[in-house]
Amino acid sequence: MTWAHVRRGLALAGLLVLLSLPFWVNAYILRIATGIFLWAGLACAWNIVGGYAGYISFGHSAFFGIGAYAAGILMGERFGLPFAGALVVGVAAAGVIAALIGWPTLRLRGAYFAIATWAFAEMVLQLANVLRITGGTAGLTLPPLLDERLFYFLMLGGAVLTYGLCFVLLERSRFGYRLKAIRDNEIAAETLGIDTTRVKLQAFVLSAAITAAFGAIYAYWITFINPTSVLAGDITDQMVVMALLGGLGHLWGPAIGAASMYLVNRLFWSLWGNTTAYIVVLGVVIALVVLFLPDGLVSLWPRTRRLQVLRALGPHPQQERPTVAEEQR
Amino acid sequence: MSTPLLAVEGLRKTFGGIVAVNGVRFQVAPQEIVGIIGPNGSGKSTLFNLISGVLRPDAGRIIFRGQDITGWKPHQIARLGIGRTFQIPAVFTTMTAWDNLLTAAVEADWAHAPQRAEQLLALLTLDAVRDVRANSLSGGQQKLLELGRVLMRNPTLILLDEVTAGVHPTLRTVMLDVVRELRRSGTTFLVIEHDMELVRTLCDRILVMDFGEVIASGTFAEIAAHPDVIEAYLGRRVS
Repeated sequence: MTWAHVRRGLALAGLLVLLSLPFWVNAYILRIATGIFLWAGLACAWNIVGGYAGYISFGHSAFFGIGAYAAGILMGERFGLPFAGALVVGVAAAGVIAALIGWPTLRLRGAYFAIATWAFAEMVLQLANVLRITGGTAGLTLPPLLDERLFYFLMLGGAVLTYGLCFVLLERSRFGYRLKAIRDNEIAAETLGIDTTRVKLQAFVLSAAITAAFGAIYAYWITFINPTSVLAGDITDQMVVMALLGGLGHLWGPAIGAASMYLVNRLFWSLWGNTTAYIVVLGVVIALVVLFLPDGLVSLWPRTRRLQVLRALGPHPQQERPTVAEEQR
Repeated sequence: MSTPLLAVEGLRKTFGGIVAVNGVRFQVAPQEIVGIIGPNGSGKSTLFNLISGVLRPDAGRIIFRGQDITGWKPHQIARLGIGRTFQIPAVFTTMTAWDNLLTAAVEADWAHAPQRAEQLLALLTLDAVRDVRANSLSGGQQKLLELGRVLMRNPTLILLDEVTAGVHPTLRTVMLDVVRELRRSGTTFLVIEHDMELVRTLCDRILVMDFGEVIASGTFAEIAAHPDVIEAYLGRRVS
């Protein structure tokens, strides 16, 4: 029996465990598992733009909220759409809005892009607070569907689809090479014929659409949403930190980061009833990861390729007159 | 001169108050190797940035293969057949040498990319570092890798910005052989170099730049005897 056989066997066993989980664990564990897949999917979506293209977005909570509110509004009494319809509209809306926002902001790099996307997310949050259609600060209630097993499978399916899509697009196709080239040296990528503006926009739209899909499922699962619960900046923070902790620019990094962080979060909650201590610990962990484990938890696995994305995201000394060059675009 | 492959007319670029390139005009014929020399800050690299579209000129025109490419984006110019290297190597730092080469072909002949990459690794003696991340390579190896990346695309015109700087003398010979071989098969070169011996042996024709202007052009013997060139490099004779 070779290592490949062992791996195949383990993968099959893991799959069986995941598929049968709702039938032999209690409701509490099932909710935690559902939460892990939600965050694993979200962190992976964020990683497309943040880890692969090297554009650190602090606006992803907006796309999560757009998906959630699409479900909340369209499944409400006024429109009465089924969940699938609301999901499609939410995903499409997030994609279109990402294209509109990405067009001007993806010309900015580093901190400037982060600030611009953060401002956009704040804008969406404030809009949701005052608009009548979103129910303002009071929020919206969705038609409840109390089927924890269904939501487990929805989140699991969403996560599997997301990772499958990312594996094919980012690790097995030209699109992945284009994104990594942009992250490592955008000007060099351009001079090799890569239409960086277009590729960045494609990545941003894809990332936003996946984020919105999870937002819609989340809203349906939780059945009540308001601006703080689906549009607050800490949703983005979680995605960023999970990807960072797991390993920026690695396919499985976000999954590992999401699982470990979510479990620690729940543990702190059950021990102390709040998550203040968790946030403190989180700050320490982030500092330690950045300093000592720049490739995240995924790099503890033997033979992981060290990408050192964090270093690549720093200022680009190899670009001649970068400010002038960017001014010209 | 036959129909030029590249024609630059009245090219001008300023950065704030500094005129980096000032009314530069020249032509390059197919299969020529043209050297560009000049003191530091004379506008050589800015000229490359203008031709490759990384910078947009304030005035002037760039004609490549009969097409006005002034103001085109770098990727459009690259797809039309101009390849370039950078003075400070611009390799993809998180990628291996192998992936750097493959990435160069994403908008070119992707189907034959692995084959071509294999050949180039051997040609540029980079076999041993094939799976090494590019920012762990030495400066000279990064230069070689950058050249390899350009060659993945088979461009018609290649702009080399101090490509042999920091490269081991043996490998430098390899690089120059590659350039000569490619020229025989139809490629044209514009070469920025500080090594005069290399310029003398490699280039058919030389442009001398100073303060953003082309102050002389001709064969090595011609420019070496040109009074303006002597002044630019050595200063005015104290009488």
